[in-house]
Amino acid sequence: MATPPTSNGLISTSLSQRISSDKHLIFSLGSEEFGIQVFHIKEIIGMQEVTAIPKMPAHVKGVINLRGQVIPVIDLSLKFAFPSREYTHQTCIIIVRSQTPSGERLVGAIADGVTEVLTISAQDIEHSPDFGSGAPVPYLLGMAKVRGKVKLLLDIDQVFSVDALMKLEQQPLDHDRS
Amino acid sequence: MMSLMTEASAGNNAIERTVDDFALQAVVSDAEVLTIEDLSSVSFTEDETRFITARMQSIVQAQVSCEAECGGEPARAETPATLVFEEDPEMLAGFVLESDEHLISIEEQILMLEKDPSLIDTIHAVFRSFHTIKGLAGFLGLSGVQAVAHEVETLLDHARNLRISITPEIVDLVLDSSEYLKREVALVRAKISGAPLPSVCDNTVLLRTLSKATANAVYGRLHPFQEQTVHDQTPAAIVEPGETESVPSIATLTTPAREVAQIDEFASLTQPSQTAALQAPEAVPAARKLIRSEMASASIRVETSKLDRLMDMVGEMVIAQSILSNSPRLTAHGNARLAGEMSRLARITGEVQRCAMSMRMMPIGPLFQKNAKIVRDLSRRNGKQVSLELSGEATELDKTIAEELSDPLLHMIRNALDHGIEPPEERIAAGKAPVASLCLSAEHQAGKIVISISDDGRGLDPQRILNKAIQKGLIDEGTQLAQEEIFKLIFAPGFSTAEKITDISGRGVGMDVVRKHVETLRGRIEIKSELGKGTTFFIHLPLTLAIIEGLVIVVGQHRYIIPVFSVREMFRPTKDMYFTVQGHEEMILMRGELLPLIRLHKRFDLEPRTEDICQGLLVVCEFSEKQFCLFVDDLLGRQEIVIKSLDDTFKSTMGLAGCAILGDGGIGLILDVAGIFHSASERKEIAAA
Repeated sequence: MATPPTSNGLISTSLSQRISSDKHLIFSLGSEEFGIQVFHIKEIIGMQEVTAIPKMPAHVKGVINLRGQVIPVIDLSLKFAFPSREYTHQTCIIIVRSQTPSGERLVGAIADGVTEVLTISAQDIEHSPDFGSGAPVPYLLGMAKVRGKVKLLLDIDQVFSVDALMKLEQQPLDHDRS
Repeated sequence: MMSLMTEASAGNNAIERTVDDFALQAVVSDAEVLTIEDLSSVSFTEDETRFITARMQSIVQAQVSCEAECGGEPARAETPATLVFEEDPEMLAGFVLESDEHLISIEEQILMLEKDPSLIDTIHAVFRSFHTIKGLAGFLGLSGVQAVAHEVETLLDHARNLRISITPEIVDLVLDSSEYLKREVALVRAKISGAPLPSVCDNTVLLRTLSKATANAVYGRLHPFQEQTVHDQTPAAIVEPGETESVPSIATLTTPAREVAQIDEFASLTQPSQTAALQAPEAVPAARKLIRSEMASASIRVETSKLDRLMDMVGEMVIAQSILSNSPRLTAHGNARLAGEMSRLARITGEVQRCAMSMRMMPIGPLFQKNAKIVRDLSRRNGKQVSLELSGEATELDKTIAEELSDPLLHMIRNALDHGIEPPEERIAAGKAPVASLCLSAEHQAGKIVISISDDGRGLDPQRILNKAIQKGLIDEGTQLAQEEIFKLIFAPGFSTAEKITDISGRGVGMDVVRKHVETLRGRIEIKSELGKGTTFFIHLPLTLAIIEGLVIVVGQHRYIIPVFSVREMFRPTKDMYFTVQGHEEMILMRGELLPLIRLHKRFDLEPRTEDICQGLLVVCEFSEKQFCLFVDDLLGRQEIVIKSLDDTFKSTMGLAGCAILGDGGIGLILDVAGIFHSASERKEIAAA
């Protein structure tokens, strides 16, 4: 058996995984567009009432009841220190599967709106640029240029890890935002 | 067929030797004798099976007639100490399950017999249990188990035919044997689970004692039982043609072939309970089906995690149903038919919930039984005479609770035996009957289960407890305590009133551990005691852990649930009850008691509707003997809730025990009152730092 065709020097384990890992859900936060690999996403639901948990950082909005399952909800805009805004009817919650050492865990991410599902092939992805600060930009898998626009691809296991969520201060994605 | 022949010849030697006893060699040709073991490992075509079966039947018929001439003398041999058994985990698991049940009932019944040796039905029951174990063990080739069970059976056979009576020695022997069988079963269990194997127990002494006892008991009338054990390297079941047997000896048939032919006769001869694990000629597949169907009729084993999931989902279903039936859009319609359908749905979901709940429930009887033997052993060792009475054994409670309860119950019984109950002389001197009574009972009381452990011994001496507590520095001298509070001191860590430390109790950990255990089960302990008359401990427990009752309270926009078991009372305070301490700490004076006041909105940084305590509500919370008042805006109601755990993200939050879906589909956070109380001190530390 020949190894599956590879692109960009990366060996993909199976064809289906390669195809689904190419597919990204694109959503917006503020003026920027982000992407999450589709196979990480369980579903997208409309904004609903979130039960607040006391003494949590502002970006941890609380918990929601997803058909009997109680899952935490994070406001990505606040997490990445975008200016605060009102929720609109475009606002939605993306239910994401994140991997933890103890198994799969569901987390809801509040996004300002879902745009589309894009197939982004590996050669269109660039490593996150060096902004001169030395440290790599956290939570980013890479950046994709699609039709002249840049989409930021999130490393969801990093974004939603318990430690990252509990960090009290919000972390701007870019160092030169101001 | 070639491979079959070679396979078959392996097991042949063993068969041949047994068959030898019956002088049947001539009839048996090499290829035609197959053990059940062989059958399980070789695959046959249907034709081959039919052929073999037919041949075997003819052999067996010859054997039967032959054996009739020999007078059915059983095979004799020493029992090998090693374990030889079939490697079928499922069947072994079935054996373990069934043997466990039988061993429990054996213990229970033999102890009943000790009290009243004339209970013939009980002798029969014990006999049958041993017989079943023997049959199962025989089928699986557990020769050690089989031999011991057989010997006990022989002994009990005399008893049930009223040739001997049940003496304490016999009771001891039977208990020793059941102890041995338990160890053997544990060995099998370890083998299935792949756990390290405990050492194989030696049964030669036990076997010898047993057969000697049999011989002695019947004055040598039945000498052949000396050293008589069933030995077989092949997995052979033992067929005992039931009560119709006129010869006092037990006919033991040791070749599988024989048993194969006997099956039809056997079925008509034996009582249903004795059918154990006996096999049809189609051998193994049918046999397995038989064992399985027997198990299935009694119980099905389901993983607890599956049951928990079911419970969870049923809980959700009930809530979803109530949301639906309360939905204004549906009720506003005024559609009678819809309303009818809705109430039907409500009934069904209610029924499903009850069913699901009952699946986790088990009677408390076995838990009590487990302690019966301990009471017997301990009272003997301490030279005390105790009669144990059980009541309410059929009371059902959640399996998890029953399992968790086992240790505390044991501790309390040991305590009662060690501290509570006096030696016979002391009892006579006090004008009591020399035999003390220890009573274990269980009953349902208002949606809770109450287990009581009651003895008629010394009773608790409040003065002695008080002195001890002062001596140990648990309380200050001169502290005024009510009798009830004094009794509760025995649950304090490090408290022990026993003058000497025995190996049973007296290390001062017992009651402390007991209380912790019971509290994790969301229960509480109550003590009633009268000096010189006895002590009763009441353990109050919830019926299940999956569902709790909660008070839904509100602070500002937020709803929280306080578990009812941690609430003592709630009230709207008046101004004159409120006091401040140095301007920042707050206290409530209630019926002469000063309780600290904690404002939930301050703890959780919430925006309350009111800051004025007279406008809000005070909930008196308690945990491990501590009490405080929690200030909240209002009470919304009381609700049964299914506890869900919160995501790891929130594990650092003090004061939350989990969450639950409320009647309208929203989420309510469950408060952990102890956590809320302690988060106060944590705050001060942070502020001080």
